[in-house]
Amino acid sequence: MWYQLVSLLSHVLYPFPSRFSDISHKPNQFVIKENSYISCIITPNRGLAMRRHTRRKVLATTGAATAFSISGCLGGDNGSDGTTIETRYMDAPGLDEFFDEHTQRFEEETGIHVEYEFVGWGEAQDTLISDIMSRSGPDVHEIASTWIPEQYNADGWMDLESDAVAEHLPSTDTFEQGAIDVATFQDTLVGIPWFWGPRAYQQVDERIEAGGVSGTPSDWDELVDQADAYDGDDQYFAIMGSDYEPIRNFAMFLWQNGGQLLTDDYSEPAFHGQEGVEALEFYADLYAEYGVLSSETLEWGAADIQGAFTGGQMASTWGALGTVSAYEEDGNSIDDLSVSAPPAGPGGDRGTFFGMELLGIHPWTDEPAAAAQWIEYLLRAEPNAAVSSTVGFLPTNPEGLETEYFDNDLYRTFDEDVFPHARTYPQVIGWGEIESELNSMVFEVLQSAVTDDLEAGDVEDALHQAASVAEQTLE
Amino acid sequence: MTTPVTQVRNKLADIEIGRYLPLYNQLTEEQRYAYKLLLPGLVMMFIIHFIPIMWGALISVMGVDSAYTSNWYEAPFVWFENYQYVLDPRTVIGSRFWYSIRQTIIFAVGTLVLTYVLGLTAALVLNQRFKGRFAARTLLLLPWVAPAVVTLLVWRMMLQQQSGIINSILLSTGIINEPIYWLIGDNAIWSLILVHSWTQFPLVMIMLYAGLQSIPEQLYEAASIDGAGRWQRFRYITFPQLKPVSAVVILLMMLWTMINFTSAFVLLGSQPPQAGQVSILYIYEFAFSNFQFGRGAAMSVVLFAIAMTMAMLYYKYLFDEDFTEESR
Repeated sequence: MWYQLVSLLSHVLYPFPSRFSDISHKPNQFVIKENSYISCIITPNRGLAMRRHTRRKVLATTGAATAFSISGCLGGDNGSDGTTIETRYMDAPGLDEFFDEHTQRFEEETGIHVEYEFVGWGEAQDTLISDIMSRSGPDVHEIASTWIPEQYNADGWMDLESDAVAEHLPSTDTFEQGAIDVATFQDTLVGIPWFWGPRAYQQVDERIEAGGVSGTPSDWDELVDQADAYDGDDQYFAIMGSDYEPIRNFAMFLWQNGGQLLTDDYSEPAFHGQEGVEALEFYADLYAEYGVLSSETLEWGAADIQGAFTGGQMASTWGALGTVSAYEEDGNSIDDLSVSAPPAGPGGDRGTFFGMELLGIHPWTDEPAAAAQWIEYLLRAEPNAAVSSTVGFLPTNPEGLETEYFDNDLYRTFDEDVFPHARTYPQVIGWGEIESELNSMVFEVLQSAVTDDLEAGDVEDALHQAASVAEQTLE
Repeated sequence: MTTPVTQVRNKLADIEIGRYLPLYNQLTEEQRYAYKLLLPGLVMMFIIHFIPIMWGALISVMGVDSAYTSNWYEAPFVWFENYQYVLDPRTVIGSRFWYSIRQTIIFAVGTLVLTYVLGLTAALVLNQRFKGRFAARTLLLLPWVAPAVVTLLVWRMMLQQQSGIINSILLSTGIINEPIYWLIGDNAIWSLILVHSWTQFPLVMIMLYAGLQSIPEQLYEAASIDGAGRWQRFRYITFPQLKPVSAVVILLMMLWTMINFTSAFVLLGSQPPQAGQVSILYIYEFAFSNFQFGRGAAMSVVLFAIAMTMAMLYYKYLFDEDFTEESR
């Protein structure tokens, strides 16, 4: 029907004889016959001369481009008679091959055709907001765990225990309770845990030993002592400083020091207590007083830190499995690495942060059962392990850990030694605002630390300021 | 036999527009023709610009948050509560917003001064006859033509405290003794001004260059006969003759800089240091991370009002007289 629309538009907009009615339509194709003249709205006596041949070409091309654009934007089905679902994931190297292979396998098994596309992390949240506002977009979407409260509140996700989908999805008993806790918001299962991973202390043994130090630090004092003693060619330790990393690092120091971000019932902030002040002071001192962290790392994001670690500029870091994968992809052997839980704070806690990605179904889907079947397929041991290994996380299906992808002691250390210490952000509406404010405050403190502008009481003031925003938000 | 399409077209042609738009009858045939030509552009502007602006103004008085993301029209009218919330300097959000407005004005004025000085200098040089003028013009246009994200990322690397080439050059030439933090701390706003000016000055240059080309040569000849020197010719001929172009350039640069998102976002990241927290970044972060669309829209309306007020004052006090005189 689009060729008719184009033809109609061309007649209405340009009141002159035309042969655009000669546009013919074949499946997925438009043919425009230009065997007669088209007089132009811009006539020569108006001062703009255009050769007839060129005019015809311009108009014909414009018409064809418009028709293709419209049909491309609005066209949906792939021509097959079976069910088609649309899906979207965060972009990562290697995912294209993964989905190419597994959508084919899934279609062979079920007859359901799965279309997939990727979105970068930078624009993912904006894209999702647009989808939720317009009630349109893919059927299945990857969810970052920290987005759940707001997006669920905005009616962006289907209840996965509803009758339309529950029977097709994997049982929640398949997963660790911690994963299900994150996936559940206000007693509703919002997503199915897909892959997850904690941050661990990672070091290249050879570099550490060459610097006169051995073993991984077990507590804060040892971290500082090792940094003091370290005499290698490269830097001893680095953690990320820019974007959303300062708050993650602060949260880890806070947990290690026995503190917590919010009270147990999530009604009030708790990060500005004594534990929080000490944790942030220690974080700042790693730059200013102890010199454990190089000041340039304050300008570094995730890619910079990974590049520095895999490229031999840093001997140790905090990172998830993605850092291990990147190290291996740089031509190194993962046998060079040692991994442990981060050093414990004065209270003896080795708290670390874990991130988790889930799969959710949008409530506007016309194919909830097919969408659920696709999620069930992706959560089987082999595909779950394959995708987790590709993006540098651990599979949420425990059977995935038994596959060849994770047949290495290093991965087991992540799972068995580091994961028990891992925590994540509170699932509460308004956390985005609190996270943003707290991140700004932590970043300000660290900047003041490296520029020698940090004065007594600044840390406490910064945390109290962030706490007042948090109180207002949680109200 | 007329087709249905032709029938529709003929019906449209028969409509007496003057019945619906009384002013239409007062227009001359030439003016009507001009308005018909303008119509497609106006329709597009209405759809692309005016509808979102009106929608933004509307939701700025509504309580649109995460609960009303998809059904915003059901959000309650809170009238000026959102404005009260974001404009109250006693709260953290209010004080941050006012601070971001201050940084935005510094950013806009700083960029304006730098781009104008650089643009005018480059335009004056290009206006001379010398070998390789075409190549020089092409080279000078590069910062504006090159993809913004790429050039901004390169600048980001160049401005790194320890590994950046800027500090390296300054240290090796003895201009500074210790590496400077360009991207964090108070210097972030100056880095932003510098980098944004670098990407924008070619536009100013090309507009001023066009203005220079339109100055009649006879004016310079007459001034030379009267014994005017190079500086006097610039002071009394070039600069005044460039005033109309400059007025447009200055206004556009000021407004575009105030709402520029790309430079600040790419150079300083989604969580910029406080000094680099310009309003547009702050509004984006506040509204989209927190699903606070109503309050974010209120901030945008305030920013819009400030930009418009500055533009009006600028015209009223600096150029109104000139244009009034010209139109007489």
